Amino acid sequence: MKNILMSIKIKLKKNNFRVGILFLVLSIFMSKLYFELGLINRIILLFNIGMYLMISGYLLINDSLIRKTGKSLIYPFKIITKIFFKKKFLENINKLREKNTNKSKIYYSRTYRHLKVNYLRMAIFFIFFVIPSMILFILSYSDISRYIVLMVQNISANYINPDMMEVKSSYFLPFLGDLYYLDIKGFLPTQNISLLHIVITVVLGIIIRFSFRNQMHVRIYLLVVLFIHLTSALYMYFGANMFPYTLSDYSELYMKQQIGIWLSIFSIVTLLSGAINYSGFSKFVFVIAASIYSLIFGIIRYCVFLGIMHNFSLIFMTSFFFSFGPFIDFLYLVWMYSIFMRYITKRFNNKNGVVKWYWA
Amino acid sequence: MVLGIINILKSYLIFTIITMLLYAIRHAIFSFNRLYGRQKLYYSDIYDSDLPTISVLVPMHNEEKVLHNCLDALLLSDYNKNKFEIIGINDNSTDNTKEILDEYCKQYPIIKALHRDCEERGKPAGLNDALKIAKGEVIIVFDADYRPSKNMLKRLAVAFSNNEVAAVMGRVIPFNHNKNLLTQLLALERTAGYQVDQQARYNLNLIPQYGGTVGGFRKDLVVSTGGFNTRILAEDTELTYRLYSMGYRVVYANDAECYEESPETWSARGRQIRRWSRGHNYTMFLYFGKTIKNKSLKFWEKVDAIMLLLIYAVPFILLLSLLASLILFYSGHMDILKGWWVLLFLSTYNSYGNFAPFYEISTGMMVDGIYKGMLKLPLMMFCYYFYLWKLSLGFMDSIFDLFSKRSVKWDKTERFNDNRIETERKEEAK
Repeated sequence: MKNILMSIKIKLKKNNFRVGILFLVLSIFMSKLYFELGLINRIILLFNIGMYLMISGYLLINDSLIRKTGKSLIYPFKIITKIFFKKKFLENINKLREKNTNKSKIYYSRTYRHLKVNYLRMAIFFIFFVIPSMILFILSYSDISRYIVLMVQNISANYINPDMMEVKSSYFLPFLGDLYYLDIKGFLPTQNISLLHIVITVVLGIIIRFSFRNQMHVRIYLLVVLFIHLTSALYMYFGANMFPYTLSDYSELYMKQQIGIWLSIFSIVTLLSGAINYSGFSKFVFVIAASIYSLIFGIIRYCVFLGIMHNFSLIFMTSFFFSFGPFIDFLYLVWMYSIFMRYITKRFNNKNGVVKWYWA
Repeated sequence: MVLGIINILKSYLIFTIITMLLYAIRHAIFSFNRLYGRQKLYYSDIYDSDLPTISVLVPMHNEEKVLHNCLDALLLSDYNKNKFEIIGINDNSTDNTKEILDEYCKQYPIIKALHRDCEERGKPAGLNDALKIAKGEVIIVFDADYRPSKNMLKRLAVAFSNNEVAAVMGRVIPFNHNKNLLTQLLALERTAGYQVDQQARYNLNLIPQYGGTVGGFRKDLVVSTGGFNTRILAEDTELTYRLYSMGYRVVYANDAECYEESPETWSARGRQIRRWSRGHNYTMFLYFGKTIKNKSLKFWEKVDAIMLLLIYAVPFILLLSLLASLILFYSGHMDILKGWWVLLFLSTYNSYGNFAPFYEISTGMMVDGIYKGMLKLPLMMFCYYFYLWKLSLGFMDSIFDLFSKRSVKWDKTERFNDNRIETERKEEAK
């Protein structure tokens, strides 16, 4: 508890301007969605915007006060602590502060060092940022999917006849509205095309089997990708008429899957960053960047996949599903996470960060 | 009939998802504990003037490239020279290992040579023979490519001052991590495996594992239980479970750091992990029932012991689930959980991207203060199918071993000998 109070004070002083601006931008961005939502969603949205504006206002005022007078609004916290906590406790906080500032220059070695957990900071992050954002997303997925589908329809009109596309909706989650997807015509490959795919895949497989001698990991990866495509080509050759999906089915499944991916990515990203005891701007940047990237990547991939399957048959569906589906989503998630963790690791090993480690 | 098969496949897919999530949670708990929890210190602050007598065993098979590194490092040890001996186990080498070892024996009486020229080759068989001539109360094992530090023997031996300790395990750090992409990725895995996984298991009073090298055990315990089983390739895992079944404990010494040479080619790595998988899974078949029935283990120890036993079976489970999902896809049933089957792949990568998930690796790197290799984390994706394939082959081998009773053949990991450290030292000396 003593760490919590101290860290709130120190960290807010440093970052309140940047975080304040972030909340302001978020509230402006969210306010643009107001007219597009239903009644319940509007109430939730207003609640969120209000909360974000309050946080933003508090932080910005606090920042200007610190700049002008050197004192911050966080000062009332001290009065509260004096009322609720004993004198000895406050002395301990001061001792802890002294310990942090006058720490020996010989820092702890890596073997048994660790950080102190700050549950309050985690709770604030989840209560004020993660949970409202997730609720907002879940309540708005129907609208989001509609926007995405309309966007994809516009983009795809460049290479697909607009008459062959139609926006449709289907039931997804109870009480939360339908999910929109693009109904689009596709076609099954002919036997000759399937045979051609079989031959090309097998030949490529043989070439790859005997190449990449020193890069066995790449060889196995490519062979798995080819194997998945080969199963598709064989299926289409021997039983194309039994193929259970149309392009429209795929389109619907893709959107359902994407909603799952977006929610998963957002929850994983927030869990990962929320677990890091660091109150910097980078945590928000990481979460927002990963979520936006995921959204944009999902839209681009939707356009590309639909375009390829519409123009070059459904033979690619299996590969798109298994080789270039969620597996790739996780690739960029890990990539972004690695950038975030690189930054955090650097911070915890510089002059100011290294004193935050504790021993055993 | 068809519907029955479909339901079985769907159930199997859900089983896989649950398994993967359990492993993901397990690794997340370890990461959180290592980063924020109280760290259980090893006996590093204890200075015992009456350390036990030790025998250092160095199994060798065609180790001419690296042998001198290990022996030279051991000779520099600050352990009381009257209390330790080094036994080089030359196991059917066909290169100059024998001659080099004999030369060392001539020069340094503390080193003894055990030349094995018999059909039964392999590390467990070599260790069994060495145990017959070893005089130490405690046995410490180093593979020939390891380079123990000056105080390593003291650090490991001090743990045996506690009578409950039956085995000790130190931390392994690759010294050739900058050689190529593979060694860089292996260094990441090692960081997670030791700094996070082993230490967290020790913190949480679970099952730290004796790893067969950079570790030691009480000789009398192993000899009295029949030595090492020569049919098991993972003698280290088998010993860990044997000791736990006897009510003893393994301790992990995170500050006993020792350098090793990582495999530098993918084929060498492939053979190594296939051997590990084969040995580990064979041990799993032998000890799964015994671990469940083991009364000396507490509930969470038992849970961790079972999850640890199954860890090399997971890739095979995943491979089957990949095939199952293909079948479900072609049969028109891939809408399982309304498209949320994606969790399979998410949790797959999370929990078994490799030997450690990405968040566990990054936690280890953060604690170690290493950030330069962090951006290589996404490249683990290429290892995913590689490990999936090789470890599944190892699993199949172990099943075959179990039913065929065939004798196992030790497939030694190729050595590369990176002399940069020696060169740097020599240059510094000049």
